[in-house]
Amino acid sequence: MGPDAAKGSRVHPGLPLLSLFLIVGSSFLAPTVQATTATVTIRMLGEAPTANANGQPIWIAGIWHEVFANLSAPTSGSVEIAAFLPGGQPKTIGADYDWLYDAPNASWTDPYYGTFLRSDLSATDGQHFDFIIGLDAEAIPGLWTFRVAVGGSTILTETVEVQAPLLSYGLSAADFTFQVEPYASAEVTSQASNQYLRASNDGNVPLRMRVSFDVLQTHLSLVNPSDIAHPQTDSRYYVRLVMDPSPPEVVDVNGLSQVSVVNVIPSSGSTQLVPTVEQPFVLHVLVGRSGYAVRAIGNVVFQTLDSVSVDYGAIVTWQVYLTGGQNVSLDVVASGGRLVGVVSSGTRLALPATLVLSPESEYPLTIQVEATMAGTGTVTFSLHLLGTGDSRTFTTSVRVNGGPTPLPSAVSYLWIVGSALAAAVFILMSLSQWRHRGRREKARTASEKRGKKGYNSRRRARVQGSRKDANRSREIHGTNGGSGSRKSKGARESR
Amino acid sequence: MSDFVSVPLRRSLVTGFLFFALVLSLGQALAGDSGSSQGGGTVGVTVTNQAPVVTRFDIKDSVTNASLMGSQLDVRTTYWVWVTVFDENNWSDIKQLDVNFWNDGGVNPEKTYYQQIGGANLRINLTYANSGSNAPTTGQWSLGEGNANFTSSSIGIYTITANQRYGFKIPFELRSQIRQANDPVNSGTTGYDDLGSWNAQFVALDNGNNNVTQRANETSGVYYEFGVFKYTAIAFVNTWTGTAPVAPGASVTTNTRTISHVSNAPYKLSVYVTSTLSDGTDTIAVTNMIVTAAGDANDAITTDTAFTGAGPVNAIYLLGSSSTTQAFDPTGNAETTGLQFKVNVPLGTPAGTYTASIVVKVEQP
Repeated sequence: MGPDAAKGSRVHPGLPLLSLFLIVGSSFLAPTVQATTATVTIRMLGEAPTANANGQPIWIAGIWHEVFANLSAPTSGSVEIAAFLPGGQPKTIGADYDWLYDAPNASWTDPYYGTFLRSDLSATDGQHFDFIIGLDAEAIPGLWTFRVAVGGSTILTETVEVQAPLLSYGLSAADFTFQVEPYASAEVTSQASNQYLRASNDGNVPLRMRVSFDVLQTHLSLVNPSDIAHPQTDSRYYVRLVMDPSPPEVVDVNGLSQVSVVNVIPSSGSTQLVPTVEQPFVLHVLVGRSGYAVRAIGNVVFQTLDSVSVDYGAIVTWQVYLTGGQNVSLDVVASGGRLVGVVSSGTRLALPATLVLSPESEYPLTIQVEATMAGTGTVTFSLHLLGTGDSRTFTTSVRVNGGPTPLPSAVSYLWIVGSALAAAVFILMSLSQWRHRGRREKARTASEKRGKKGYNSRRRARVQGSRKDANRSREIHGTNGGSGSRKSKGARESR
Repeated sequence: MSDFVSVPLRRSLVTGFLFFALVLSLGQALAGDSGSSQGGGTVGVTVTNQAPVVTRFDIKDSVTNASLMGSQLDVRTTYWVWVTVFDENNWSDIKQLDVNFWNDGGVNPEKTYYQQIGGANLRINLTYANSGSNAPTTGQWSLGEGNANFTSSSIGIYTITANQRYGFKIPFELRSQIRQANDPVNSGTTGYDDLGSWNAQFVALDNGNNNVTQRANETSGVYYEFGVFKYTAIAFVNTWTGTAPVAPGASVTTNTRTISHVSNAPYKLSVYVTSTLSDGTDTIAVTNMIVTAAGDANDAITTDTAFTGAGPVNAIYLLGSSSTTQAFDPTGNAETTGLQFKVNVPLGTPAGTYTASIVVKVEQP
């Protein structure tokens, strides 16, 4: 935006108040010129007037300003504006300035330095005087005295705050990702995904902002861009993408934000370096099917789904697409499921398969996987580019619904330990039985060696043995009866 | 009973009993908590301490109220944390609530909140402390740690069930150098699985030492992850001027300007000249422009370095280099670097004020 365009383009709501304040000030401070009064506004070109906390106008050093004096009546006299730092050294760029409209000659001058007035932009109609003037960037910040005189008489004196120029610019940038359908025209903005650039001017000078892109320049633009970032403003800009029909591709775009201070006053010194600030950002344009992950390796684009869902025991089928400028070798492996087949045009491919690709069309493949395990499995696609030798793998997750729930590892360990213990218990029982049977077998064998006896013979032998036991018991306890003998008797009776 | 029967039977009974006990124990260990029992005895009531319940936790846009969990947040922008907490034992049972945000470090396995000790730009905690009050107040909330702007008086408290269930709308703002993180497009239900993102969790602690940590959406089960926009900023006062007159064959040194720069990721800070110095008629070649070592004692310029030409390909790196980056500052909100130029004026240069445009560039590769 040029100075001409900027002049008078913005009106601050506080302007009437500021003007009123200046009128009142002139009434008190210049009682001898009651006949002519003035309202004055001070502002940077294209900007609204600003004031400090005390209501005093702010003047930014090093930047062209518009000082607009509106007299109460037309004048034929010269109009002079002066600004100086009280106590400062007269006629130095750090502290003292003077500007003059010479009515007899109808000329605008900067009598002290000849540098800080734009006569080509200043104008008057005899009552309204528009001075385009400024202070050097090295002007000493502080409270300056500002004075307006008409015909040699001061009609207004005011205090203004002079500030050094502060360039302060910040840029936020999202991870811009656009995805558009292949072979179709598209116009999308980043607003839907809430991805934006945010330009923050935290300084006190207006900044000209420019955003450029290294590729797709004619396809990318900002929505409602403003070329000027005004002081203390914060603006969001969404990015618009307009795409012509194109085959699948992945385009990484480098964006660059550049800002520079506008309306800078040339230095009166020997050299001046005017700053610009640059901040890059990145955008990704994916031309690929909706819902598909679009991946690039060299000049080959591979499209697959990030994940698919399938019920346990069922077969899930989906398609992947390849596009590219060279042929590839493809292998497909499934884990956590069974790869039923990779089908191209109705024919099951033997893997790894060599595919002949075209950069202008998609090569579709149908993938079939059976969910043989619960949980999440993966299908891995291994691409080997036959032209360049590059290789890369891509995966699709297979989420299986239902099926036997895999036990947590802790529970599995408990089962293993429990099973081992149970097995040990059974082995112990079997061993015990086997040993006892062994002893019984020995006893039986020994009795058989003594001769085979009939039932009555064995009964007599047992009774005789019992009597021997009872006699042994009586010998031990010194009694001739007791429960033991009765029990034995009873035992005998029971038989 | 005869010995040949009773001995093995006894052993079998013992081992069988042991096995039965083992199976019972295993069953007890694997069984759930549900079940019922009944019996006689004295009448009494034991009120158990119930754990707090977090029924809602989200980050929302302060304008549209749209959920932003799972997407990217901007720095220097106000967002809301929405959280609802219920305590069956009444609110006075709530001892502490914590909103934790942390950068996962980009390593696998991802860092937990407590493992992320890198600095205030990598971990944020908004905390609520209660000591028996049966209704929450905004003043009980505070910024525990992290570079966030937070004003407790701006918090909205919503009574859903008096003394038991409250909702909180907590405004917060990430400050300038909160670590950039990519859009967590791969967030899932199995854990914090999007490397290089920020993670979030909400912790509720009650006086019964029940510690409830909510890490995933209560409906979808997707873990709380989000990204952070890239942010860079530069600020400096005034331009660089050589105010002293200089004769041809001599040199002039500009004033030193302190550049305040911000980056929420590793970065490079460089400067280049777009064109020759010119007074409108005559020029001074770019190769006569020098970045002085005296401009900053801590930057990469240790000897006065002249531009080899105009344009970004001839940039001079103040921090980082063409192939390396300057480390991310994990603690502060901005850093500063001094920059000063010197101009050699060749013999035969006509008098005039020579001007050039210089570009200061901060970039996150």
